[in-house]
Amino acid sequence: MSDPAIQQLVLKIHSRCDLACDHCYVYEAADQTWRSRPTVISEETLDQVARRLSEYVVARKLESVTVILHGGEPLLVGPARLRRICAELTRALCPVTALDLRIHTNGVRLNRDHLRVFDEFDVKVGISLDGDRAANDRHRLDRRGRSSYDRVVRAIELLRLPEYRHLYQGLLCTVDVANDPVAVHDALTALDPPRIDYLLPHSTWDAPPPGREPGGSATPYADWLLRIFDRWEEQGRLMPVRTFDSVLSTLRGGPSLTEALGLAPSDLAVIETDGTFEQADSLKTAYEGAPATGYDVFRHGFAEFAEHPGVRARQSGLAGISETCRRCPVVQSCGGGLYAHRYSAERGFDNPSVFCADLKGLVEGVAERITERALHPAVADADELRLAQLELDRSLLARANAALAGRPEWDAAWRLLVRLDSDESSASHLNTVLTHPYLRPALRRSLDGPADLPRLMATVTAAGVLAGAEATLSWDQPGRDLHLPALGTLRLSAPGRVECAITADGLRVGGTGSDGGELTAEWRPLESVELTDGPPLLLDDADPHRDCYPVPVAAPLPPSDLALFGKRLRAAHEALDDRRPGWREGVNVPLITTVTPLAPGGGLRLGSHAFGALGVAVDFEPEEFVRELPLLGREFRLRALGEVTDLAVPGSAAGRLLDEASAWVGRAVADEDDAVESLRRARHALDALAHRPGSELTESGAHLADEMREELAVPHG
Amino acid sequence: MNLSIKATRGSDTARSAHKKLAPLAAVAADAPRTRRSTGRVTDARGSQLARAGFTSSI
Ligand code: SF4
Repeated sequence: MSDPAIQQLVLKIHSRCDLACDHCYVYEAADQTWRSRPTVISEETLDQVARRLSEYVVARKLESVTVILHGGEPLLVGPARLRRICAELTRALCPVTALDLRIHTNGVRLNRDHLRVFDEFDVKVGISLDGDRAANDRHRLDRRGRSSYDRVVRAIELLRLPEYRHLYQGLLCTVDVANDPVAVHDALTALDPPRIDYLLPHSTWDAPPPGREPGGSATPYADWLLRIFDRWEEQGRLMPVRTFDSVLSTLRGGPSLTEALGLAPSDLAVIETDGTFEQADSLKTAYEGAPATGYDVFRHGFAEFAEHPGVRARQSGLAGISETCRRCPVVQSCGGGLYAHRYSAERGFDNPSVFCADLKGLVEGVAERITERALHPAVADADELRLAQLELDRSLLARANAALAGRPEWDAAWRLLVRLDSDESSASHLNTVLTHPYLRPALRRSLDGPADLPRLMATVTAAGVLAGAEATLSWDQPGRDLHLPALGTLRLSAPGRVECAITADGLRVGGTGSDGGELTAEWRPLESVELTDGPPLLLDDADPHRDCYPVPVAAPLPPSDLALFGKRLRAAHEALDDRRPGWREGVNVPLITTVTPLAPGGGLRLGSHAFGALGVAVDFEPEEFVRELPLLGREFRLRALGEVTDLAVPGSAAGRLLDEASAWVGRAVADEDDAVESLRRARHALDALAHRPGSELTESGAHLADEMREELAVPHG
Repeated sequence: MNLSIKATRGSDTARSAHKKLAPLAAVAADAPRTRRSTGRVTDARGSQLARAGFTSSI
């Protein structure tokens, strides 16, 4: 049961189309099985699909599942049938999971009757459009050779109406390098889509893509997409573009966002109008029958489908791609491209993508464009690092504001923030809250998904309280614990509409609970521990966003345990001062402001994207503390610098070697027992770094590498 | 109910930073520079929210 689950179903509800696009993979490609299939999915097949999927969802305990209504052209089934399909899927799946229902359409027929159905069942609509009129009309013509452009744009205008806007999923654009990329992108952005997806035209090694002229660019698709990337950047990335977001995410160490790029296991099933299971639809371009599995919903379930060798082959990450791809420097971002694009009659799918040169060019082009090469002052100065980290949080907050603007409760909070920021003394209180390490995880989450409004409101309240500003903020508080970051937790009598009146004397909490009663609150402040040397450390055992360590955090501690923990922490610092008198000096001192107790056995850990935070297990040993903290200092600095500038081109080997070298240099310098081995490994990593192309390290990264070489040269010769 | 919350000592950065920082209201959230700098920590998506989405035009 540990295999990746099937979480996306492409359900073909109509097998014909009212357009005759010459680049279509269904009708124009090798696989012609559509001819023998029922035109419309039958009630019986639909019931069976819904039943099989809900059984699978229950067995695998899936929290969500996406069903994409597809075709052919799915709107050809008509609004009444469409309603029955949506109703049946909703009836079967909504009681057992979160159903994310979507439709991909050419938009030609989309009208208010369809949209009323989509509104009723919350069906998100993705529309295919290849750009401006000229671009679209190059391929997307109807059977009589007429343009589809005006009809599609009219459909999009409908989707943009306030009553349907929430159903507008985005635009899907198939790339044709004969079109002007900027004109295409501008035409799409003018339609204000929530997201855009650029798709490479379906091709294989046996049927290579158009646009490769003798004497022309070796990477026409990369060139084309990178011009759009530049345009998108220049616009301030107005909307997500999945192709680019996926490359950016993987370059920064995150997951891929599309099956067309990266190594994420396939979680997709396709069911045709006759109930047969197929693998990815795009395989139709490969050869007749390529997507077939021999399974159907009447005889087989999703679990059996998931076991199919063809499906398994696309779930095996690095092991499932060609040898060339496995050794490729951009494999994490590219992953060998879309499965179908790897096909050749000679070697099956054991090839790089037919777009290999373009994909490599695209990934490298994006990486180069986002690299900051200049030496960052934070590399040599801890104050600059603190300042750059604070600036980063303020920029993230500004982005969260842009996303939340227009919601009255947030607008009031933002006005207070701006007021606090305009005066030197209140700004210092604001910045105290903004430098709290666990704000960052909250801001990241707010930008990555639905905004965590209650958390952000609580942050503004905390800043207001510290500054003693006069203001009242209110919002819907979903749980009883209202945590004011860096200060403490208000335990409310119930969740509900909370009202925080901030005055110079403190905070008055009121409001109405969801139980109808008046809200009351108890206050549990955060404690801090005074150290013999240096600023006090905040002991944060309550922030809901403190859970950013690779091991579990401890639950809030009872007062006596917390006091004991603080005492042991102070003693451990004293032991460290004793044993390593110089540890507070130098560039690698850990800039810790906040300590969070971790569950027993967790050791000492740095949090992810939580500048200034250190996790310490409740049962830590002083010896371990003395040994680990200085080492963590190096890692802390490297990570913190990597958040404010680039040390190497993202995704490059130099970045990984720099991390490795730093870890071994730390051990070589600190380790009394095994310094020789650490030293050897440190030198090895630094030598490997020296052999990378010079352009992989930025000036900041080169500065760090030189610093390490000097360190090794001094004590160890 | 009225809670009086004792102010913790602000961090050194917080106190000294004000003059060096661009006013919050003037940070252009969508400017390429802002996106570029915040991108280092936001571009890598959370694994839970990310899904290698189906990609096919129609
Ligand atoms: S760029 Fe080419 S070799 Fe590298 S992973 Fe992609 S398809 Fe494979």
